[in-house]
Amino acid sequence: MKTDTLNTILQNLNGSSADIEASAIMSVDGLTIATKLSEGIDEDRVGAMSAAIFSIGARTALELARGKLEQVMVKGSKGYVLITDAGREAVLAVVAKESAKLGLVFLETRRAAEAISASL
Amino acid sequence: MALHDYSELNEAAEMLRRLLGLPKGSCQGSSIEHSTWKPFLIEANSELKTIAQRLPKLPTEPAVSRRKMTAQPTQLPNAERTGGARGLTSPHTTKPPLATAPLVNQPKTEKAPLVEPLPVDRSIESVFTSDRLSALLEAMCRRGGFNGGVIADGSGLLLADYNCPVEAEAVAACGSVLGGAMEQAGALLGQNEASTLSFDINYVDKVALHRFNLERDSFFLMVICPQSVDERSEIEVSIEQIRAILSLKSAHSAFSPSNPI
Repeated sequence: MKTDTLNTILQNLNGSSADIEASAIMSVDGLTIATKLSEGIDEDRVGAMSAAIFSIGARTALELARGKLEQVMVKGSKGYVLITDAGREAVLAVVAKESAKLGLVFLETRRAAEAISASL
Repeated sequence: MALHDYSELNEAAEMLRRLLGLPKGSCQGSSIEHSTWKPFLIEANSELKTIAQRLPKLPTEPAVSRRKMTAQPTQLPNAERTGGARGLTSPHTTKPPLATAPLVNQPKTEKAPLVEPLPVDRSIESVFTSDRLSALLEAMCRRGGFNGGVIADGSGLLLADYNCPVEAEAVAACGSVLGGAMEQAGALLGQNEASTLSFDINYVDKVALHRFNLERDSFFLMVICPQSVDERSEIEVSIEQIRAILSLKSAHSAFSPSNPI
C-alpha cells in the first residue's frame, strides 16, 4: 500500500535525527498525503504554509532564472522548516529544531524526497 | 565435600565402617573423639591415610558452623562462595548425601572465558543517525587519542561533531573549503584520488582532513589531534563505520524504484 510506504519513509526520516520534530508529504496544492507530526502541530496548517511557500519559491526561482525549484528553507529563532520538491505530485516538509545538524537533515530529506518521488 | 566439624566426621566414619564391614564400635554417634577415629582411618587403606593426614588441620572446635555460614552468605569471599576455596562449600548449594559424595573436597574453579565480550556502547545502537555519528566520533577520539572531530558534507554543512575547540559549523565549513582546495591541488598534480590533507595548526596540534565518497555525495571527516599521533589507520576504520551508518540501505533503500513495495 502506498500509504504504508509513505508513512514508513516519514518514520525513517524522523528517526534519522532527534532534531527532526515533524515531517509531512503534501500535494502541490496543499492537501495532506501523509504526516508524522508531533503534538501541537496542525497538519492542515503545515500543508497550507508549505504549499504557499513552495509556490512563492518556485515563482522566485523562475523569475530570477535559478532553474527548477528544489528546496526552500525557512530559519526561525527556534528552528528550521525545509520544503523540498518530491516529484511532480508532492512536496516534503520537514520541521527541525534550532540545534539540528543541517548537513544530516539535508541529506536525509533529499533521500526521503527521492524515495517519495519513486513511490508516487 | 568438605569436613567441617565432628558431626560430619562421625557420619564419614560411620559410612566407612559400613563399607569395610566393621561392627558397630567406638566410632558411632557424636561421642567420637579425635584419638579414636584417627588410627581407625589410618589402618583402613592408603587413601584414607591421606584423609587422616588432613584431619588434624581441622580446628578442634568449628570456628564457623554451617548454619552460621548459611545465615551470613554475603560475608563469604567471592572465591569461597563460588566454591573456589578449599574446605568451604557454597551455602546455597544443597548438601549431597554422604554415600555419593567424595571424601576429599575437590576445589571447584570456574574457567574464565578466554575472550571477554566487548561492552556494548548503547549510544552507537541508538535509533537516531545523528546520535550514532556522534557516538562514533567520540569512540574514535578516545581510541586514537584525538582531541575532537567533525563530519561535514561536500557543501560544508555539519553532520556530526565531537569536542570541537571552536564552533562546529565553522570547522565543518573549513573542512569543505580545504577539501575543495585539496581536490584542485590533486588535479594540478595529476592525482585525482587525493583524499587526505594534514597540517599543523600550532606547535602541538594538527588537523587531518579526509574526504570520502558515499554513492554520489562526498563527505569530509576532519579531526584535531596531537602531532605525535598517527591518525590514518584509526580514521580509515572510522570512515568505514560512517559509510555503514550513512548508507542508503539503512534508511530508504527499500523504497527505491528497483525494489518497489
